Amino acid sequence: MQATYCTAVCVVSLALLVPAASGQSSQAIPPSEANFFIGTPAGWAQPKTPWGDPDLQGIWPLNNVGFVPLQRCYARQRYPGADPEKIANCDPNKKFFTEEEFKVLQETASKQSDRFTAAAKGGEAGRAFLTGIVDDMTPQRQTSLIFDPPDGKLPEMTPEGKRLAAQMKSTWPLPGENPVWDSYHDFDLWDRCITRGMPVSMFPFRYNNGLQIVQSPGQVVILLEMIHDARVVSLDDNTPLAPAIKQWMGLSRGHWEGNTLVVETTNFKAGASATNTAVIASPPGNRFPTSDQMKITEKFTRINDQYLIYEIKTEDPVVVTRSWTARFPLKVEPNYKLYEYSCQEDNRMVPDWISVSRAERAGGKPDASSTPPRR
Amino acid sequence: MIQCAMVYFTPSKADSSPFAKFWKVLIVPKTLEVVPLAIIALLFSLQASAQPPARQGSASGIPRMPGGKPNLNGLWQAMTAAYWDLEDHSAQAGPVIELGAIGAIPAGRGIVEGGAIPYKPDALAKKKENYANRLKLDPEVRCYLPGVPRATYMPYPFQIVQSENDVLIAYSYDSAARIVLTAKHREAELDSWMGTSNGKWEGDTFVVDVAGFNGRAWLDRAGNFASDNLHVVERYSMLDPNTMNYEATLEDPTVFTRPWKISFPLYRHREAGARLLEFKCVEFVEDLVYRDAEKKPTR
Repeated sequence: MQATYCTAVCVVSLALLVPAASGQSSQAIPPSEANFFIGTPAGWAQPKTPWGDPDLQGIWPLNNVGFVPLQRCYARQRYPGADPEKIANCDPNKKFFTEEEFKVLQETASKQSDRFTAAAKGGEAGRAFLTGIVDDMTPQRQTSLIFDPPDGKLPEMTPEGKRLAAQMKSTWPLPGENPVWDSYHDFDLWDRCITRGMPVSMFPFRYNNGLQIVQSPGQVVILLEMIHDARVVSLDDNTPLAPAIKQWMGLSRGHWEGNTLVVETTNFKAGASATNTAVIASPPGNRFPTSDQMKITEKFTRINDQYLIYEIKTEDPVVVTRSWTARFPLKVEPNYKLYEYSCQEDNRMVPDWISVSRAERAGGKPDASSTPPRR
Repeated sequence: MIQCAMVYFTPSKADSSPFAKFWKVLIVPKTLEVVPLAIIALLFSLQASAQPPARQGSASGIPRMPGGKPNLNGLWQAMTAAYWDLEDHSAQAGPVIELGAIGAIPAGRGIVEGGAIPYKPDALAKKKENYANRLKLDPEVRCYLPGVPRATYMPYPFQIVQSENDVLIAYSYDSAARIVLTAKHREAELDSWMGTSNGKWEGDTFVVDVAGFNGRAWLDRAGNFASDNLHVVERYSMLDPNTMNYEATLEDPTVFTRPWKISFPLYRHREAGARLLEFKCVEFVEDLVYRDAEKKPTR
């Protein structure tokens, strides 16, 4: 422990010396595709924690990229400005919108009416909730979250991946599916308030997108608002991994490569969906399986006071024929408030959907108003 | 050995009597050679009790953050039977017959200062009702969020992640977590299970004010409870590199006649490879929670 602190002090001293030696001025990095058109100003220095680690702390809500489709040119994509004709003519090699196209997206987004506020102001609290309380979303230059495979699409599943997918259940139906519910096994892990799983916990949903990074000497925690997950990343941890321990969020270890935090996560419990329809342009049905062989590698690189570039690579040889990588900027939002996402505590979905599903099959048409809303 | 014992005892002179008593009990039978030291320590603690509170909670030989604040980082766990019952209790059969000795309740000294929780008469009646229906009503049975302070003495570890300002506490149980803000405090806007936590340092003690509870969490498996009027002040004080004292004052004029206090030590997990592991218990209770919904005959 004391040795750690001695090391920490030495690192701090070094960190203080190095900028002084180099005159403390770094060159500006202009906006480009490489940095998602977010530049780094001249003279900007990577903030450091008092113990010398690059400081990534802050609230970085995922809804910053909530308008960005997971997959490029995906038939179901619904981002603003998208229409069927455009999708038909969509260029899978076009990774970024032009400046002109981006302006149109921004204008469209600024004109979006806030149905929640309108209903709430009109005194219709119930209807306000049913509009779906959606976090503010900002248009981005990128055309998809996925950058690899280069066409911006999820890779093909292996035969085993397809077999596993066919066994999965969800309240989110596949096209043409007419699902019935008789047991909690007929619901997915998100429906059941267990977890969103990985990697999809790191993608933007429609609401409760809070993500906060907290650091201490030796640890980085990625706190996720939805279904309250705290991903504890132990830094420079060389203790042997315990292969028998499987977790929905895996076991995460991290290290610094320059100012980039690299997090490697293994030891996953098989069975969560890697994708979720709450992320725009995801495959339907929340049935993209994950195995216990999955490995996820993430990179967090701060590029100025407001932004970091986030990258997440998923490898799962059991399920997919190749790895896939998403990359996007996150913006620090000190005023975003993470609320408690209690879920299991008031989850009426499972019992009520079972009850409605049985009533429907018994020939009774359930009263529309008694159909529980989706979470 | 003697030196080591001194380290363990030095902080206890600054501590309130229940804790000093605890150490006496724990260490004396183990290592007889420290008995004289125990007496010295006891004398110290008597002497210390006459000293002004400003000196309380300051301990030497504890890990510190750059900047000098005590370093609370680590994986911690309580070693009491308070998760069964905050008050003194005998060993007894557990609520589920099938579990036999696995589910039986170990005896435990209470952690309530003064012995008993000062319930108002109505509230005491409700506590007894809670106890009688605990398998149905205890939120832990259904894997609900634990609330504060219950999260601290459940039989699961939790990790403190202390930055230069804010502190995150991540609990193994149900992946519960809370942020304790120290730089920019936040008022409780909505009632919640875990409440809203704001922290400050008083000397070497980390003091956390928790309010904004929804009143649904219990305090243990014996039906002890509070309402949404609950206000908790927690005090975390390092005693030596691997031990921390935890104290919480519970104030709730709806349920209790006066504020009351619990205190007990927290121990650092030191086993090789120790780290916070998931206990996402929702999936372990679905057969129970959805049993009725699934069995309901088709209409």
